[in-house]
Amino acid sequence: MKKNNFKELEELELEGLSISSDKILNGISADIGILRYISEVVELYFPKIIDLFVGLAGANTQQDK
Amino acid sequence: MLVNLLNPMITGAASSSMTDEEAIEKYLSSQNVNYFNLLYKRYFRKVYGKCFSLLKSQARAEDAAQEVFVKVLLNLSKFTGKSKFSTWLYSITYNYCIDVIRKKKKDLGVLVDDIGRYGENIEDDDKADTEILETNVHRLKEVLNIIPAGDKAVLLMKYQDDFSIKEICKVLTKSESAVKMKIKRAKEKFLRVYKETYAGVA
Repeated sequence: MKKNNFKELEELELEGLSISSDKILNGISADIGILRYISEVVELYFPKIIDLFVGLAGANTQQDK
Repeated sequence: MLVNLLNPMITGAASSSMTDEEAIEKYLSSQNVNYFNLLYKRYFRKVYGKCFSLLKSQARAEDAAQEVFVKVLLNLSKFTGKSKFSTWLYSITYNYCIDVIRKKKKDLGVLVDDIGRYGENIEDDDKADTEILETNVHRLKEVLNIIPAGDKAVLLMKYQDDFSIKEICKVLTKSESAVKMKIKRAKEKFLRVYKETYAGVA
């Protein structure tokens, strides 16, 4: 069966590509690390920020109770 | 703590004989990065290749491939298995590249909302399909590099990755009739450019 010319073109283009898989994997690792760090910071401080707003609004914060 | 995908702390039995779906299931249940690495190694060249083909720059293709895999990693739990993993991954890839091109050029030819002239026939044209699929690979490459990136993306989704109309609809967030119209126009543009470029050449 004759091969689809688009798939043939893809193979041809992939053969000519020179790219290190580790370079991109390193970038992904760094991005995910930053996202995790941000989420941990938010998780840590978010309840305190909410308490602060509650306090500013005049209500009793959790710490007051 | 940083996630080290290059040197995973946990060692697991991520085998190359494992299907994509099995690897995803294992990754989600164990969070063992070896299973993600398996998917990455299987697809990174193809994803990078698609990014390079559409963005035409090595640096931008590297950034795009990285972003695509970060999106995949963060959204792996949303993969429902209704389509093949490769289709889902390539949808994210096309979506991302189209967004990049859209930001670069405000007007991206075929990707703008042009539902089509009233009453225009949007059914599949088998003759155009045959003509396109019989194009010599080198000429195909040439013409795909001349036509707008939006048209190229639509043709690659249809012919290279065998996306269904519904899958293309999801990527472009357009209705079925709008997508059929875009495919028809992309084919017409391809054939027009082909004839202009190779007029008089055997």
